[in-house]
Amino acid sequence: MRDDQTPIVRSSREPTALRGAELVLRLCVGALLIYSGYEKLRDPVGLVHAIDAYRLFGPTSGLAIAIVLPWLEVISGACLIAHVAAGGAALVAALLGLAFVIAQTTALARGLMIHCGCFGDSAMTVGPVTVARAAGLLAAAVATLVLVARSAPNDASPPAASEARAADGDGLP
Amino acid sequence: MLGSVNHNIAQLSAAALVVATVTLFRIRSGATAASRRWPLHALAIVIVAGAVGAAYHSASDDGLISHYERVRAVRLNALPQERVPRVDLSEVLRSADDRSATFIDARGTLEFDSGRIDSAVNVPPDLMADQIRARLANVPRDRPLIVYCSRESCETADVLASRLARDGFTNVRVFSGGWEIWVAATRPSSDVSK
Repeated sequence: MRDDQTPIVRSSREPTALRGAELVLRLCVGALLIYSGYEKLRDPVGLVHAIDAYRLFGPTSGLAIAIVLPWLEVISGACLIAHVAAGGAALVAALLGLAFVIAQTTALARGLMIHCGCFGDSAMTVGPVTVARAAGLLAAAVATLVLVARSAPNDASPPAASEARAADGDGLP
Repeated sequence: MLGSVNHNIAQLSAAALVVATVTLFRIRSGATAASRRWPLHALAIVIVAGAVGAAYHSASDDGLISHYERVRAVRLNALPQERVPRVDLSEVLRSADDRSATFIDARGTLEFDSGRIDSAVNVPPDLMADQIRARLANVPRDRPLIVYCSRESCETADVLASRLARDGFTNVRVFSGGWEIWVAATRPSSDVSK
């Protein structure tokens, strides 16, 4: 038996499993982000009040966040599902999850009894459940990021470069 | 004024989209490793989201930018006018106990839903004049009104109180400490009647 046979067998199975897991995670995180952004877009004024209730931002920055956040969720979710710039979109999702965890944890620590504003008007009051949900988004986004990285061949080697671009969603118009 | 603001926002949005598109093409043509392109992809997504959001909210009269320009204009018009009388915590507590005044909550709907002074009426700062009149249609004009918002630094109670005074309510006062002082006095309410 040749020494290099084992790596060959592993490399033929691992990408399939990795890409399957990556596909599922990308679709789930992408759909969640699009749903969240859509719900926020339905009630923009409510979103401004929800952001204001956290008492982390001034009126102008709160308004800017309310303008950008829903579209950020929708566009990054669409990128994840369409596999266009998926690494960047997963990075955005992870940063959003991290921001939500920090905002809700600090709100809990300050004793604020506020709606989380997570999914528009149907939002729950900030509490351990909403923090756990945001942490779940963060974990799923980080896992997506890792899987996107592992399933993308190293494009430092010339033959794999085009494949790497495709896997990373570089097939941009 | 709104028209020029929206025109500028539309121009900025178009410029941001051009920058994002150029950035994406530069990323595509680069020879960096996939993971090193992610921050640039993420930045491009943020730029596109900002541009689309700004265009979306400035294109319509119901958009946030147009909406808050109107709210800001109302604030600027209302604040320099008459200073509404203040009411301190002890009088607020007395009025809440004997129900001798109607409390007007000038915070947003979500904050109001999270907790409020008993039987308070919610009048968020973004309501239009006819919506405010409809919400207070059953309140007599000479009924004492106590308006409050989140805390002493918030201005929505002053703005709303000025509007109510101009609308013919003759006994309007502001509880300047607002919800923060009410909570500090351990008088929160879970009353869910609106």
